[in-house]
Amino acid sequence: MNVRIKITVLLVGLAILLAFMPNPSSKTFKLKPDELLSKSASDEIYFTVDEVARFVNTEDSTVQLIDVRSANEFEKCNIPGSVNIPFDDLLNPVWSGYFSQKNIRTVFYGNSDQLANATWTIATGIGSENCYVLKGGLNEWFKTVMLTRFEGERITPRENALFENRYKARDIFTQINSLPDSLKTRFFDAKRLQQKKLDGGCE
Amino acid sequence: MGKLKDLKIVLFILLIVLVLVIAKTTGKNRFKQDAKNAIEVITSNNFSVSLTDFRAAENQFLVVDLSESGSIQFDNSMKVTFEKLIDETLIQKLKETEKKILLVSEDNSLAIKSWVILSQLGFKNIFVLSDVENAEVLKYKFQPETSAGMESISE
Amino acid sequence: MGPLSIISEFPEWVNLLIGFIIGVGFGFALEQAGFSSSRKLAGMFYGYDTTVLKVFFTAALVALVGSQFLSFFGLLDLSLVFVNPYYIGATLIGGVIMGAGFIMGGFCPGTGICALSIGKIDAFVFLFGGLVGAFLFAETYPLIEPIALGGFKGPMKVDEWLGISPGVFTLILILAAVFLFWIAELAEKKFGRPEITAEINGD
Repeated sequence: MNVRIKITVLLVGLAILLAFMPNPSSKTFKLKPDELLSKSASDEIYFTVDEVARFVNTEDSTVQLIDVRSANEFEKCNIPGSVNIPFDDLLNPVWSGYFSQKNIRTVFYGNSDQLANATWTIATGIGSENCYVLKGGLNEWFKTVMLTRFEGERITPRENALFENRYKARDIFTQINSLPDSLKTRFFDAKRLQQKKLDGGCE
Repeated sequence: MGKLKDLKIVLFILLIVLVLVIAKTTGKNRFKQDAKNAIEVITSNNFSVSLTDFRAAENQFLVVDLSESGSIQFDNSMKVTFEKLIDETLIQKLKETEKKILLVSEDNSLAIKSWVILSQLGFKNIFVLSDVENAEVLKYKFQPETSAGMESISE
Repeated sequence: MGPLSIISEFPEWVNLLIGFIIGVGFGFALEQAGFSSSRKLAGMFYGYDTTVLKVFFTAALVALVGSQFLSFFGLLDLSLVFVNPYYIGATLIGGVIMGAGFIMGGFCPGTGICALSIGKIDAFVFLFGGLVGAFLFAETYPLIEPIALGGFKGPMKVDEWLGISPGVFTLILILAAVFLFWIAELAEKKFGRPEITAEINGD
């Protein structure tokens, strides 16, 4: 029985197996349950609003903020520098570039904890790395960064640094979000173009 | 029978591949669902139960209490540490129950993460207790500064 | 090395070395199949030698079956594998040009390099012509751009287009291949010409 027939039978047999195998949708979680669970249990996936405020102030290019609320809410106000990926559009392939960045920390935020944590779990489950969550979301941002004032007589250097950080972020937030829409889009496009130029490479 | 003997090697290879494929598809506790499904359920808000609705139908729910400080009081709740979420015994209990499973934690983050994990493992009757205090709604209104100058902000 | 997850962490030089070894293997396989002979290649179109069909079709099927199994066992990320974007007009015109060139010259680019490596002069002229053609394409691109980019359909896959699972498609393809090979053997009997090596040896 010559080799040809053996190879043919082998290939046909394998193909029959393939025809009956379940077709795994590329959107099932790649991580095993216990891996995902142990990552989820860690506290290191959270950034506080003060930390994110510092990212905004220093225009840290190793951090990408992602707003998972709807487009409407994003337009009303958002943390400067963030990209809007509405939660229900999460698995759209156009956004996949944002989820597989090795040197960039991706920080999800919503109005509170719920949507961002759900996004984090799904993103990490499908294999993205370096994902984080803004603890408390925009509610916490407003409460802490936008509205707190120092009450007291004497301020320590550390508190001073903290409040300066917050005031600066507050200004940036107010300025950017107060721009008329046309300027806002221009600002974001310019920023995106600049980052692309820094990153290099094709589209 | 002669023909089959000649195909020994081929059949052997096919058998090995078959065994590997079966092993992979029937491993216990694997993520089987399509993530799209989880997103749809969350977007359509079919995953949370308000406190009043819960109180009204308390005995229909099996409460899994993930909170760390025990600040929430439920009768008949299963206290579970988050790290032990997918332990065999717990998963078995969850599979056997006919009640709806309610996940509870402070500030909801542990609950929603458990919800995603369990739903991707195939559980369909799971819910999260919606936290009015921490609802996914912006509590503040942003006041744009109308005097924001037109000076160049672009780089 | 591409999307193979188990070895994607290799340093660059290892990836290049693997590519080199694969290239050596490919050239070796082509040469030992006799593809440096333009008579063997043109025989595909005249019907007296269908080796080209069998070799390339089998190679494609092995790749198809292998990649699906690797993807199933999580060793290969199929979403990272490049799929050529489909431009209807350009593909048709290019196919006609390539087909005409193949039968006139008796080589296609890969086998032309094979033949060049064993010193055939006609292969050298053929490849030189190919380079001239590529140069002309680049120089006249502004004129032919609308044709080149017309009918863009994106990276289409036949199994997606037909709405069947990849496994079923593989099975159908393999069965079609077996049938085609059988027809090819019939054709060889019908259009047969004296064996080349017999001619050269003067038997």
